[in-house]
Amino acid sequence: MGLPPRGNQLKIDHDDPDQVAEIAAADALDALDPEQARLFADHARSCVQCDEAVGQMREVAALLALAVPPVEPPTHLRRRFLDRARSEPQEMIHPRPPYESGGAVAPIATERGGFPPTLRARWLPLLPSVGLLVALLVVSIVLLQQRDRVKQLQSQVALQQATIGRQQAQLDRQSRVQSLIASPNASIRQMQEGGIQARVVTAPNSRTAYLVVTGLPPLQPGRDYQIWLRTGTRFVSAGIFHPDRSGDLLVDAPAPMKEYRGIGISQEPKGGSPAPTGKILVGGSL
Amino acid sequence: MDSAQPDDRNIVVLLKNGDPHGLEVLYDRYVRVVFALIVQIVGNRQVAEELTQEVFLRVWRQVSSFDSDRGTFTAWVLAIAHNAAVDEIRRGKSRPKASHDRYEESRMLLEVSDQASGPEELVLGGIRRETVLEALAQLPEDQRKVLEMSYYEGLTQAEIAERMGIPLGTIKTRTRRALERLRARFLSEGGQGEIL
Repeated sequence: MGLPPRGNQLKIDHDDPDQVAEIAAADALDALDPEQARLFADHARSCVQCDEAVGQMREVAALLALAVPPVEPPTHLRRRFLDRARSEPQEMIHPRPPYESGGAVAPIATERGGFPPTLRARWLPLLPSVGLLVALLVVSIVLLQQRDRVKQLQSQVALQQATIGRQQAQLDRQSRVQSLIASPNASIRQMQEGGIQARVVTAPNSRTAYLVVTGLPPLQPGRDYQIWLRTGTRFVSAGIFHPDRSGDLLVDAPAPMKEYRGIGISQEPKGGSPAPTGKILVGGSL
Repeated sequence: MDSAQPDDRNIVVLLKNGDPHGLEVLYDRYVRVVFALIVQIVGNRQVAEELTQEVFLRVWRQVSSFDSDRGTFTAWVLAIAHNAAVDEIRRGKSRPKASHDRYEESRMLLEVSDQASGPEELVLGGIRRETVLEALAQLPEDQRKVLEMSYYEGLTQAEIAERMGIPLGTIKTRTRRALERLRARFLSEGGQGEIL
């Protein structure tokens, strides 16, 4: 239960409340040797029993200050303090003092320079640890900031990649359309059925058709539009689609377009059908 | 309850918000006690002025570390002041007043202060100065002596044991019993919820 002996020894038997109270009383009065104070401060940080004991003793010790008759300081001290304080930044410290460091307070640097020896003796051995903690804190903050920055950059890159991907797909599509239209054997067919109009550009040896269709009725729930290529009496699926505002789409055929005699569009159950089950809404020969 | 605790809470809020008004309130409320304590310990007014300023600057700079769950603001401020003064004399640059019966000295000065000061100066944390003096006077002589030598003269327990020529363990016991007696006395005096 006691602290392990080390250098200037400090042993605490936590089963002995009087002993705990004794060391707490001494610490509250700043009456421990500097090394003992340091050891006790280290210990009290993680010992609720000792921390509470020294807290109670400090409340009593503070009252001893009242026994001293109040003394009026010189009036200039007030102005000097206020002027200096207003130019001094406040520190952000996680609440832990006053009951740390045995002496309740961290070092005070006086105007005559340096730290008081008792505090210096108490704190100097802690400086490497404090320095390490500060360094770790700084590194952690930097890493967190960098992590956030990396996440931000990753999001930006992902967005840019998506944009580039869309733009690349559009370029590819435009290139395929231009290549098809520029083909010397390309031909255009126009089809109309009621309010539905369609134009299709094909080339005999190309497996691609460029279809522009307008006036299609809204899709019913659970349905898709499906494109059919007709080889004779047999229809081959060329894929499903949802028309956008432009109404144009590229159709990828299983075989060169010269193999097909006609093209049509129907509404089919969602996901498409092996063969048309619905009415051909618009179509024609190729 | 008097207005001490709410005042302290307000001071802490002001200081933690970085409000310069809090500096004035803090200084005006505590400077006489802090300055007197430091003068008492270091025995040099010039050094005490410098240390007093450093104590209040320290409170201002590090008020964010004050945790009201772990003690009163009064005890925190006075602990800073006491520690600063004790470290000063241990550094050897100042010497405390000659050791003699400080209670008698305080009693004599109390009579002067009672005539010269308003009652607000004699109350801190709900405990009147006179109550503290009476409580000290009622301590057994050997307990009061070790308390005075450690608190007002800044001696370590080992130094007290050496100076008095008695075992260190006895000093530890006397110190503990003295503070326990004072605590019990102040609690019975109605100090609960204030500084204790």
